[in-house]
Amino acid sequence: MNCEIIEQDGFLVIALEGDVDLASSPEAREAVLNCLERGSVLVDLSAVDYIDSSGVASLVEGYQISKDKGVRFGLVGVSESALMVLQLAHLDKVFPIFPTVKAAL
Amino acid sequence: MTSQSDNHTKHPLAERLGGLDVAHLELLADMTQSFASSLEIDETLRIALRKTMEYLDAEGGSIFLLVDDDQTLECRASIGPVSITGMRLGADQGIVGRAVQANETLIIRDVSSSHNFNVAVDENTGFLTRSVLCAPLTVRGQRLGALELINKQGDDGLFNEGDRSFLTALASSAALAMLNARMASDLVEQEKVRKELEMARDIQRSLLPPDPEPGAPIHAINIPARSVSGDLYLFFDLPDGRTFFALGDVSGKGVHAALFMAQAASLIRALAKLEHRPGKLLARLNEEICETSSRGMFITLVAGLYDPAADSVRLSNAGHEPPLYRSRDGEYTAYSATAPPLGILPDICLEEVELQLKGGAIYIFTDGLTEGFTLDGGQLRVEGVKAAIEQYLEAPPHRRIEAMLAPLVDGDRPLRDDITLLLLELWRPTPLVATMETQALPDHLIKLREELRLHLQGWGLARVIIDQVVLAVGEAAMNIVQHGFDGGDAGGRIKLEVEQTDGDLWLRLLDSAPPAKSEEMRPRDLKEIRPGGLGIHFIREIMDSVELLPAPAGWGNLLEMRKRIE
Repeated sequence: MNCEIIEQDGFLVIALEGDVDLASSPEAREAVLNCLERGSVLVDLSAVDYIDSSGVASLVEGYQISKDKGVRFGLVGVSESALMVLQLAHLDKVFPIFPTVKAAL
Repeated sequence: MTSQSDNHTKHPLAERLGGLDVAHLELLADMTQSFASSLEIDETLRIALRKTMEYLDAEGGSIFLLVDDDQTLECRASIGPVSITGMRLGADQGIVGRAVQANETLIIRDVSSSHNFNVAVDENTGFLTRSVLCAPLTVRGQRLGALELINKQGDDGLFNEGDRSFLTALASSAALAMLNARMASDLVEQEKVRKELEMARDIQRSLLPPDPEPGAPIHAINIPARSVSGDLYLFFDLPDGRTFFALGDVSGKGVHAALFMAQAASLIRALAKLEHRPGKLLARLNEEICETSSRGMFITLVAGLYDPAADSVRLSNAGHEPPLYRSRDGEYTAYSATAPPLGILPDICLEEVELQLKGGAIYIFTDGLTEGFTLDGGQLRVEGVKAAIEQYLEAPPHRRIEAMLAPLVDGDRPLRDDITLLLLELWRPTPLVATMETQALPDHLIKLREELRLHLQGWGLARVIIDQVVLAVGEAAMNIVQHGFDGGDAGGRIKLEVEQTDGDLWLRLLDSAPPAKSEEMRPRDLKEIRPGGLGIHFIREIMDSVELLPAPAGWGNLLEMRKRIE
């Protein structure tokens, strides 16, 4: 998995790429938690080939922390494989999901 | 209206055609067109002769064609005071013969002084020949015959050089028209014969059973060497659930063999409904054929009864190529004939053999298969038949019999004999199986998933199914690493077996961790949004069944998951 963080339109955008699984989700989780310390966060899932329950758990944790902190948290460009997993977890209606960063403004 | 003087004006094209005038050219064009539209040969000949005679003002005329392998000239059309149609000459006899042999237009102003003239014509017909003009009918070097004109009626009564040039030009277009007409009539005749044979083949085909469903136990194929076949096969279900089948080869080839085949097929069908025991049936059939068939006609036949409930087959063989039984593990048994072909001796006793299918297959075929040519010109004896069976073993029966015959049929060489092949087999597709193994470490699971994905893609499964199955297996493997191996153990092993059978995908995950308790496999309540515990839910959601089974020796756990894919 690759993880890149950029600032765009007032968001910290975390772009994940590849497989988000048991081996890589701790890195994704840490990125989410660190960024939430600094402000509103969007996680870009457009290049994610595979995400399992450990990856989804990191996103759920981020979502809950954002509520506590009163900042925004959402997903952008969710890939087909990632959407299938979110739907199985019934989380596709829980997370704010945007096609692009601009759409989240 | 064209005046007489215009008619004889020299035309530039006419100059090139040997001094023909416009009228000549017009007539030539008119006749060429008549020939082109007439495909009936005698009609064409009469048109050619009549128009030529009219123009050249000849008293009589005839067209001779080469027949009997070009040994004889036969008069096929004649106009004049005396008809000589039907008259025959040697191919080099007379003026006609000389024109044909020399392939040039001859003009003989005074016939009585020519040694090439067959005086017999005059004596037989009483017709006095004074002057003769004779042009060969030739197309691209192929000699067809000659067109002969006799006695010019006007002028000095003799043919001149202008007439000669004209006839030469006309004869070549007449010859082309004749060749076309001849080819057309050959085609019409061939077409008639072809249509009749096609009808005969359709009738024969209707005597054979229709192609069964791909999953049926019996499949057969028949390829006639000619339009009609002397081979036959049939199979049909009896009311008690058993299936009767037979395959045979009648003596001789061609139409009489085909008629005998039709008679035999009807007879077998009728008798088999009354007498199911193959041996008794063949004996009855023998009596009938001995009584009714013409001398010298006989049939080699294998009849059998397949009982799906008992998994058994009873066979009886009258003078036919031994059927081959191939057992599940590749052993062959041949069932040789125990009696002569049917229709030879009135009282014969036919033995029966009974065998269990046990997952094996029976191949029954005519000698057209064993003796058929292969592509390299060698013969496909029984060893060749076995090799073909082994080569296409994986193919479903209806495809396998086609594939086995393909090398015999595809060559340019015509078939020597009809080929018929019947296959009895309870076919089950070979399951698609894959096995992969990995160390119980978090960063090794990606390799397991990728390998699984490649296999499923190779089996042609839909993308969405693949994504789901890979996720379920990924979750299960992750569970094993996290809970079975405490987050990871380089010495721990995880093995995945995948199998696709009859629309189900089976996934068996084996691990070397200590045995787990099945209550650890319960999914959590999704209404509660919190991290963790989703994996089991994914697995149960995706899979149609999930079971923790007793692990085989050497393994701690076996998780079996099944996904319906059809």
